[in-house]
Amino acid sequence: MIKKITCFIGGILLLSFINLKAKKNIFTYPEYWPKPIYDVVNNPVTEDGFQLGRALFYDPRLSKDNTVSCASCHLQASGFTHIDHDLSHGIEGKIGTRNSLAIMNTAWSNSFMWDGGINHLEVQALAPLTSDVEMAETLENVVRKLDTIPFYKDLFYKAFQDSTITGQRVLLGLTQFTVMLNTYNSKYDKYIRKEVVFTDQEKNGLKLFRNHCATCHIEPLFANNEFKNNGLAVDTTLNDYGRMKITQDSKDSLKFKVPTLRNIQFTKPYMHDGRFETLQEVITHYTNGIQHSETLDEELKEAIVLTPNEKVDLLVFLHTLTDKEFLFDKRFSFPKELITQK
Amino acid sequence: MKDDLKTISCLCCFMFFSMLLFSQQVKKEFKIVIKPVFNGEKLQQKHWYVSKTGDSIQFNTVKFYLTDFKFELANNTYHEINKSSYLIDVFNESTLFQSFEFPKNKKIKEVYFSLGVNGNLSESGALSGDLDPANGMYWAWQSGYVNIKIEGVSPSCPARKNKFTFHIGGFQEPFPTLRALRYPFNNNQKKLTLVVDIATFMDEVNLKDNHSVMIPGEEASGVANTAVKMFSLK
Repeated sequence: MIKKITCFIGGILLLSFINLKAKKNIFTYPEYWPKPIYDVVNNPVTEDGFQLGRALFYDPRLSKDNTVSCASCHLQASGFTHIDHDLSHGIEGKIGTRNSLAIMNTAWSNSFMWDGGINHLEVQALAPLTSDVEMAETLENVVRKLDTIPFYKDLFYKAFQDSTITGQRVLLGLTQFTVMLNTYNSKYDKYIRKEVVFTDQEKNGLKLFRNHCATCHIEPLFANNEFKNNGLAVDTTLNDYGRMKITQDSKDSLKFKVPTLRNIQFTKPYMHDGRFETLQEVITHYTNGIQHSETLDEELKEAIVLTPNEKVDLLVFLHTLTDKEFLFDKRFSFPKELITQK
Repeated sequence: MKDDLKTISCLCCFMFFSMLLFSQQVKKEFKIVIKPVFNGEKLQQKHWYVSKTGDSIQFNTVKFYLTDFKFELANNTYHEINKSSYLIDVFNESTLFQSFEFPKNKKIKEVYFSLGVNGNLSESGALSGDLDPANGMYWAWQSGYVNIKIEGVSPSCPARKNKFTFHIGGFQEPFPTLRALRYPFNNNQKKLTLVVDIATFMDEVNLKDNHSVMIPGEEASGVANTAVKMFSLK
């Protein structure tokens, strides 16, 4: 009898432990990093919430014709961006107007999209979800679709202790996945943590980077939450003036969000319209291709001069920002359970 | 033991009913009732109306947010209603009244609220209930709520399929579209009837030249000034 009671209590304790583990906040970051802008207190990231978000992220049912998922334009192996087009494409082969941004370290961003039109991580997914040239769906209809799928009822119940699916919960679930896509295990990070050493070439590249690029691409996130005109000529097939569309202020003409450089080796093509295929082209733009206009960033008004060897060193340093642990982390990959769920 | 249980049960029942009685004594309820009309005539979906300018008009959607309810009391203090954001759909009866509870001894002088959603909520991410983006009153490409949505058709409207579309929103300076409303309140009233006369709006916007506003900015701010004139007390 005592044995039975002991087993029973043990079982309850084990279940409680498993449950507590599932409800535990799993969002972490290096202690030497700045405090995130996104406050997970309002949307605690749990294992269940993360798994819900992961399923949503990879599910094409979030698009109007069930063909395009978030992952269609945000592939893990390329730093959660696409690499096969200059401009993003959506349902029915429709082509958008901008190159998709990489999804990394999102908790440290205070605005989203190239023009910063989105002011909060939780509502970022609405933009591609409802864009006519991307997923062309409505959040109302996503809720309706998911509500008919027992697999999702179960996931929502686990994540929110309530199986009711709402627009808010879809967005909070997606956020719990995207806020976890954090990269801080590149060679650069390990060098900063004194776990590895840099070669002389990498050291020189870092020095050149700090001299010429770090005003905008601030370590450790390699971005600065600002919008800059980096001297790109206007593509007359797009006539995209960036931030000005949002602020309607001519001072913001041709300004675009400064993107992170993490995993830059794999996030091609580069710039808001994907005009550069290689990092060599990007570096050459900054040394020889700057177009002067009224809103050009102050830092770029004077030409950056680099010797051919320095350009190579800078490139070698940029490759140290590659974090393969992140790019191939199975926790962020397609959840196989999705294949069998209808 | 049995007696003890009986005593405890009696005590619990007594406390429960006392609390119930007490709560009923100190609370009073009043309602804000929204009455959508077109020139005094009840507003109906897909019904033809004629504006002062002679335009035939039919409405498909008329929705707006009323938020941040606050009551000025006789002692010049304010009683704020937390989380009071309501999405009013004039063609959905269930959204046309809101009830508020008050301590009974408080006398109300004036009612304050806003037409639209404030900037703080517009920067707070994914919210629930009437503020859930799934209600279709949230802009995906430029974060923020659509404060007022008026859609319909008119032969006078030169747009495709004669459709007019007013999606009025934007919370940032210099073109915020939130508008404050304030009405005196007689403390003996149990309800306040708010008339929303959409004819006032349609008489002022000229559909021939102005039939589509769908982004924040100066034009939206101007249309918000017109929209707020729809509201009056019965």
